[in-house]
Parts: sequence; C-alpha cells; structure tokens
Amino acid sequence: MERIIAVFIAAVSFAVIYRAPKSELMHAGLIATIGWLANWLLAVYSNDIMAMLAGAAVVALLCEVWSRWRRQPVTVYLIPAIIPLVPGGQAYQTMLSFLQGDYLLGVEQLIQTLFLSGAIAGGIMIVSSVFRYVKISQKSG
Amino acid sequence: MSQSERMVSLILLASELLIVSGAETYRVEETAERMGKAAGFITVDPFTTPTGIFITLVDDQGRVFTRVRRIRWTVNNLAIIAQVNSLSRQFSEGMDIEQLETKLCALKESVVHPSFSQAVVGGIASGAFAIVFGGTTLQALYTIIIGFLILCLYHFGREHLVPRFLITALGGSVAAILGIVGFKLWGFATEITILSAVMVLVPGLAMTTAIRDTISGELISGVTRSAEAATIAVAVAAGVALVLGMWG
Repeated sequence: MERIIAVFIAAVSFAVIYRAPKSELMHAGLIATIGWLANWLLAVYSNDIMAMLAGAAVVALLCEVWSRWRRQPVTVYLIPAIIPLVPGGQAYQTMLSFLQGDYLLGVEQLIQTLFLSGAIAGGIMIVSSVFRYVKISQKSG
Repeated sequence: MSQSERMVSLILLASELLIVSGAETYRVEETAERMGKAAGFITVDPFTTPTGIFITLVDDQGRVFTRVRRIRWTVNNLAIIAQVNSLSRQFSEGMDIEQLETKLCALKESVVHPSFSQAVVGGIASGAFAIVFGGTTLQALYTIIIGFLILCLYHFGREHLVPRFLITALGGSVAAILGIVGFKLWGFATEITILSAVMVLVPGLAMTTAIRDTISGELISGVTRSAEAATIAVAVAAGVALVLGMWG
C-alpha cells in the first residue's frame, strides 16, 4: 500500500519537475499509479515483458483519453506517468555484472533491459498509433 | 513591417517556444500550419528538427517568406507546450493578432530556468522511489537529500554550460558515492539508494518524445531523440560504474 502512495508521489513530483500545468499534476499521478499497478499485477500472472507492454499500453490509453477530456497535450500526462515503469533495476544489474567481469550474465541482463524498454515503446506505439489513425480519419472524413 | 511579415515572426516564435519546451515535432508543425492557415497564407511548409526550424510561407499575393531559426537550448516545460497549443487553437477560432502577440511574448518571458524549489521536488521524487523499490523510511529521507543535491549540481552545471554528458555522469557518481556512504554508516542497501537517486536524471522527455515522433513518421527527430536518451542513460551508468569500480 505504501508503495502505491509512493508511486503517486513520485509521478506528481516528476510532473512538477517537467513543469506540467498545475491543474494536471494530480491527474498525471493518478494515471501513473494505475499503470504501475497494472504492470505489477500482470507481472505476477505472466512474464515481465508482457506485463511491461500491457502496463505501458494502459498508461498510453489513459493519457490519450485524459488529454481529450482535459484538452491538454498527451505528453503532459505521458512523461510523468511512464517514468515509474522505467526498468532502472535491470539496467543497474546489467552495469554491475559487466563491472564484476561477469559478461555472460551481463549480456543476459542487457537483453532483458532492452526488451523491457522495447516493451514500453511498443505499448505506447500501439495505442498512440490507433488514436492517431482515428484522428486523421476524422479529419479527412 | 507588413501584416504578413509580422505573422511569420509570430508563427516562428510559437514554433520556437514549442521546441524549446520539448514538444513533439508533429505538434510544432501542426501548430505552425494551423496558425498559418488561420492567418490566410496559401501554403505553409514547416520543417522541424530538435535543433532548428525551417519554414516557408506563401501569402495570398504570392509573396514567399522563408525563415530559419536555430535552437541551441532546451528546458522541460510542459505547461508552455499546453499554453501555446491552446493559443494557436484560439487564434484559428478568431483571436486577433495583437492579443496573440502579447500572449506569446509573455510566454517567452515565462520560460524560466530551473529553480531551487524544483530541486526540492526532485528530491521528494527520489525519496518516493526509494519506497517503491522497497527501502525503509529512513533510507527514503536520506535519498531525498541525495536527489536534491544531484538536481542542484545538474542545474548549476547546465547554467555554466558544462556538457550534458559530463554533468549527468557526475550526478551518477555523486549518487554512487553517497550510496556507499549510506551503506557504510547506516547499512542502507546501496542498490536502492543509487537507483532512486539517479531516477531524477532519467531522460523521460527524450524517451517519450522519441517514441511519439517515430510513430508520427518524424524519423529524423525520432532517431535524434532516441540517441539523446541512450547517451544520457550511458552517462548515468558510466558515472555510477566509475565509483563502484573503484570502491564497490
């Protein structure tokens, strides 16, 4: 429970660092918390990479919906909300393994880190492309 | 100065504000097009990269205006993106040029450099991450101080034009040194302290914008920003590794 609150506080702080409009800070925190929870719960039932993909997709979906509802650019929510998902732990382990000369483990962890970051990118890409397509087809039609 | 020339300058100013604040390339170009069309230009052709804008406009009398603006610095300021975005929409719905000019100039003044209170908030973000990664409350308090110090160092370095790679690596080193100190003195897990402290250096804006630029077909900006994000990540790792390699 305290970790959920901590994610919320972290995301709101990041929204402040990136100077999001003051009225949107809490919304960004809320989206970040839901996305982080989705990733965390799914990681229990499936593998990490699928969970990350789904977590990022949930965040991107909520951001697109919120940006239409609140009439704000998507990035206002997306940037603070995606930061709690960043695979910092894996990146740290990768660096540590290489530092200790354990290249085999290092490469394994490097690939895991790359796949996790790729999953974040993929999750955002899928959702945002769909929304972008809807927007373009509304304009031309 | 003719009405068209004045309008060209305003469009360029709006685009510059967007890029400087870290907006996606497609948003900059869409805003320029929206404003240009609303002001009565026949064609509006913007070409935007993270380091510069080229724009050509043709007005209804067939006169061609071409401007180039080089962007040499950026700040992260999502509020300005939101405001320029809504100003351009208001303009296309009939706001007059004088009003637009005053508001855009006011926004330009409000692009501020990092402040002390931001470093404090950055510290709180680090502290919160310490809890997320499973640290104790005391450790979170310790991490708040480290996050604050790193951001102060970062902002100080940026203002004195220290290259970004160097200052980011330094930030990583500071996190690693204080992480080891925290372990030696109070037994705080080194990994959690370092990880949560360097979270404030994570290139969130470059990452997200790289993805969004790539989707919308802006491959030059997408690749540039991915490279930016990767370089910063490597810088952080190098800074931490340097210290851990010597004392870890």
